[in-house]
Amino acid sequence: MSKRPKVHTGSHQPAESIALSNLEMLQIRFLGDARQRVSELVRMDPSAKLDILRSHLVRSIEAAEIPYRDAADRLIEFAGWLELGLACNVLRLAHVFADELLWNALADPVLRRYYELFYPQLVASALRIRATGEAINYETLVDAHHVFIRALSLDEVITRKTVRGFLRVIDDFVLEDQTGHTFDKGDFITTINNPDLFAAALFPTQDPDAGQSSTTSQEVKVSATPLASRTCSGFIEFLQFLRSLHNLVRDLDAQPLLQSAIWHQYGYWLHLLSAQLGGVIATGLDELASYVDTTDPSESDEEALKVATFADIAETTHVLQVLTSSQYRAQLEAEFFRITGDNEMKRLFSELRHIRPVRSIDISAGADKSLQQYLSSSS
Amino acid sequence: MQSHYLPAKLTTNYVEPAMLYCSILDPSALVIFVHGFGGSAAGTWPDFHTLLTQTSNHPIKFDAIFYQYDGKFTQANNSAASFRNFLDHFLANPFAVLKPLLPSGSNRTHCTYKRILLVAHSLGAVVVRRALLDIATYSAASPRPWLMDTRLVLFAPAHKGAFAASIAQAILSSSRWFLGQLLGRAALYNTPLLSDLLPSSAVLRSLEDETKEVVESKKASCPYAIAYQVIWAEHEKVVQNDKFVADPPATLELGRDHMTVCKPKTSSDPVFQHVLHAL
Repeated sequence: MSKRPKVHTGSHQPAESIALSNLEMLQIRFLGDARQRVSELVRMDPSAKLDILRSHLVRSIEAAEIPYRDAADRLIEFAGWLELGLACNVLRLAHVFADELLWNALADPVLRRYYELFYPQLVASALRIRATGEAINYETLVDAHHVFIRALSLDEVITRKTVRGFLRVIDDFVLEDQTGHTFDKGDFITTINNPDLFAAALFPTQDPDAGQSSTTSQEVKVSATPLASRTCSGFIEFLQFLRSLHNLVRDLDAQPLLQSAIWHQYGYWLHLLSAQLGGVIATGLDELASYVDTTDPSESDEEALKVATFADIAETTHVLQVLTSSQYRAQLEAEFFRITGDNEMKRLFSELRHIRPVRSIDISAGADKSLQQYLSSSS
Repeated sequence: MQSHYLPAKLTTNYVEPAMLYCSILDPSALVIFVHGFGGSAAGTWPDFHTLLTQTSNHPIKFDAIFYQYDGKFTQANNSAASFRNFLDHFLANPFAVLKPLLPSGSNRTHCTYKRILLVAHSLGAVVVRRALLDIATYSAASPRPWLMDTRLVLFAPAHKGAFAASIAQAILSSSRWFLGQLLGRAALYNTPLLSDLLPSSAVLRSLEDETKEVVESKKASCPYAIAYQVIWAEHEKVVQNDKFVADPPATLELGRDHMTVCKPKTSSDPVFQHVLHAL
């Protein structure tokens, strides 16, 4: 059992019944039935737990391990939302402290290794340190309920089936449908770098070869599968999500720690994007811009759209660059490390910080190597 | 001050999970938002989520549902059938559906909606109109009293048709995006939804003809067949702005386009006020 935390009462507490309801709603939505698995994980033999919650870079994850890892992921995401809820004054700390399983799980060394070293989720760590009596002071404006709702509504986008499919692809999963068709990151890279393939994937025709003179029929078949279609739709929706996230964090310039915490809540995907696919997506957007450039608008409206298109590609690229840079990452990290002086985590984050924004194509290999070296030296 | 509980996922057999915002106090109204082409509940109505949950001073308390469906590939009439099933299932006994989703400390005891407000954007208008029309037509044996309590607020409705290339563009994004034009040029779109929504398509013709029949046959009002308010965008490039049967004259929102016409920025924004006034 972890050390019982001190309860700090803030000056902007929500009404008790509302705060309790908010906590319950978050619990149902984000933790739900995973609570039982989390409880099993916490009580599990440490060596078995260590094996289940290993880095996927060490050994591929087996099917039987996935429910436990999913439960751990849900707990960590839930912890992040609790921290944001406290930061936005929609929860009361005393209520959050009452959840013994949550604090036991967050303090569990094997789980900590999972969410603080292998797959860093700093917002969950920021909640964990509250058990030691420390806390990030977000200096949030009194009425930040609307900020919390905006952040939550972004989660609705990212949990859509299509977006989940895309994120699984960039997270090294191979998608397979009932007919045995597969779609993986390599297929996605092929698709995104060819506007014809990309268009065919988004709006598959009855005849996959129709109108595809510049591509091989094999390539078109890959992109015209429902999996390709779903993944590419998910990619478009994910770009939308990034723009909404950018709008939200940009609106929080006056509250840099809250701004950074919201960025970190989605930071895993942004890291993955920059580390694995940033260059590919940037190149894909450039390809699309070149493709648009070859069109010859016949009407003034179309010329205006072409101009707007270039502006939009530039804006999307800019958002990608900003969100995958350290611009919003740094504030919370600096404050967290100032409070905790946690050298072990600091070292990992400084490794991650070397990952450059999306315009650099060579970052993927470098980042993975750096992380692998770090993991082997720390194990 | 918080007027609604944090959102819950409303899962049914018919569609993707909808986001549900339950009023903290017993409500007298229900608002259902239905997005358009390729959109999503979160993308089409981003600011409604936050603005609606800060309406504790508004005299009318309401639940809100952000309905979600596939607006890319599924035919409009299929989406309407799913929405019809959703409405029928939900409104048959709303409290039974909501109770498990309310926090345990909730003091709410019932869901007696005196007003059902359906707020639709673009393709959503076709989906909503067809669903209501079918419910009214085929439920004659066991009438749905709530039909008479409905109001429709339609933003940039696509019930008079849309321009194909622009639909493709709109499908790809809730903002002005480039791929739609690109796809339109390459003539690669091949989804039944696109032909459903061309002006004078069979789907739209039958919707208009049947609506006309209902309106003409009813001596009393039929709020499910006549919009309460229609809002057009000044810079509309996607749908055909034209009067639909007995709808009132549209309100023109200046400086807005197809995508921004349903996106209020503040609670005093007329777009937000249109919805509140219709409650």
